[in-house]
Amino acid sequence: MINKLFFLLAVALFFTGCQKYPDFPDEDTDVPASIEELNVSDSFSWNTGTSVKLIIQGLPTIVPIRSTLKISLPDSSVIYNRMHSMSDNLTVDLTIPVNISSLILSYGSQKEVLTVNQGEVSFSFFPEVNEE
Amino acid sequence: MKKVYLFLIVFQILAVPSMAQLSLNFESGNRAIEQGNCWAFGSVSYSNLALRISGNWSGRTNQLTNPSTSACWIKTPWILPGEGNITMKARLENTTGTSRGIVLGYIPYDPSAPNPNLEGEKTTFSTYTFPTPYNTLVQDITIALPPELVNSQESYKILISFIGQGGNSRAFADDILIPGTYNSDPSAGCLPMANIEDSDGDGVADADDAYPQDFYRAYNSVFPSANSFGSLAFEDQWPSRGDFDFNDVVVDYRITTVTNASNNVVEITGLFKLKASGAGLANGFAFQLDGIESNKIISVNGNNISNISNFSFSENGLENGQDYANVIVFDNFFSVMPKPGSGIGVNTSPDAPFVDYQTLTTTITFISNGTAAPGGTIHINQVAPDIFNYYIFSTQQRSREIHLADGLPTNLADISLFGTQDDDSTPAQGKYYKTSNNLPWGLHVLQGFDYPSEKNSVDEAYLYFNEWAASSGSNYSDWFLNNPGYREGSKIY
Repeated sequence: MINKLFFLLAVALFFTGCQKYPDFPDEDTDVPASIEELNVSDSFSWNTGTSVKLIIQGLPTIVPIRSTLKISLPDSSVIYNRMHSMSDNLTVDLTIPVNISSLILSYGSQKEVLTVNQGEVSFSFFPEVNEE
Repeated sequence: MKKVYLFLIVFQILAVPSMAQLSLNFESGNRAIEQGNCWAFGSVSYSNLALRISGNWSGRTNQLTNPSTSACWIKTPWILPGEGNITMKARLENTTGTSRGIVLGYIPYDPSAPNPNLEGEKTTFSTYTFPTPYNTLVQDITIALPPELVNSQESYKILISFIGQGGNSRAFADDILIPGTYNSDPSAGCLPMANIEDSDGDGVADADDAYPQDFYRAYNSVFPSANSFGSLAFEDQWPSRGDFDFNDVVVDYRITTVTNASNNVVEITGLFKLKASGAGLANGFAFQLDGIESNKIISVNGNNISNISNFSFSENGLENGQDYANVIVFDNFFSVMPKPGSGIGVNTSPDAPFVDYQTLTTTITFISNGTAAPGGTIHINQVAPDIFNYYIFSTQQRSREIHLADGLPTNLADISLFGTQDDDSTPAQGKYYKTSNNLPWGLHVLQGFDYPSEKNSVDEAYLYFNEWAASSGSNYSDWFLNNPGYREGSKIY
């Protein structure tokens, strides 16, 4: 009789002990159920934009070269537009939607997709040189 | 009548135009600089070895064991040839080898050439042979420019090839001078400089000019983008924290900054779409341009003021008594969008009639017909999006401002309310318009925001809002999207 009870117990444990949880995200116990109970960082800005520093390295040119510099979102909408001298360095603070991970730089016939990396995008007018 | 300007070109003119020269002395020490200026190199590097010819750097070829002109070479940018001689210095690195020489050729510009550089067929016009027996002395080389190139007003490249057979010697080259005018455009794939159409003559090509017929305007920069609106959503019970439905004032915006060819701000146009106000009392909406003084602005137009006696405006339409420019977009939401007669306010109660959104276009003029405001010009880099300090205020009480989190109060704000009720503003710490646990009275959603309906807290409508905030934005930064499982649709207007 006792063996039967053990057997039934073992069977019950087998079918219940390793039950798979539904595929819900892990609950983060630090996140309260109500906004009023939130404890938010002092530095949190409550907006869905992010600051990006655009850094451009100029190239000394034989003659002055000036053309239009455009910075666009991936959907091609221009967010920053100016005349720029190719020989000048430039740093600009931009604000972009937080979900944007790349920007498009256009200058003359040049067009480059720049990846946002740790709040910065950088571009150099220096061409890449393959050492021979 | 269209004018054509050759504005990209500033000729490198020496004493006499016909003496213009293109030079290469390698002293940059960085081949990328010359390549960026449209020089090209094949198996020629920059060297500061002891055998360099002059200065600190010379060009140095690979071993000259190939008679082909396409093995080791230097190719100039496009030039408009002048007249006179091509001169250069060269030396061999050692005395080995059975033949050593330098071949010069020219390449015409050919718009129909089947290569991206539009280079035509090369023509060889001179060959220099190093004197034998070979030595390592510096040779001064002078070669006349071919007569068919002289002052031709056509674009050519000069190809300098280093050839040889036998041995293992390399060659150094330096102080290359070519009579002619630089005519390559590094910003246009190193093609020849082109005549650019610029109808208004402001220096910006028509193709890039948003205002090709207006000398005083050139560019539009749009925030958050020309294809979208950002959203500003406020609670209006400050310094009490309210019900967190963030629909007491909801305004969408798009800011266009117009600049001229000098990158100075000509005007800023704000498109403000009034969407909802779930409030019992009326509110106004304004923004301060942090850091921009009022005397930099000529005028403000397009705002909606229902009771001007509540304000003191200067001639340019900005508020008096402010350190920085304050633009009142509207002073009473309900005078622009009247209440429909049922529900609370406008467009927050699902059972109440919908009121069409209203759009106000507010224009701030900095430069008018080329003349700046008395305070001078503002550069485009001074009007980054974060200087727009948006706030609402009580229609009945101008001083009762409510800003986005950490937005600076204006001079006219009643800061005696700081630290009262739920407000925990602490100016000494730069903390403004936040509770003790840093909750705000305003949200700023750049991607646009479908606001909650009346009395539904934003975190009940957006199921990952709290996780976003608790993680300082690291988690669920897309909480506002309509992704599966992200929203409780019944709680969104």
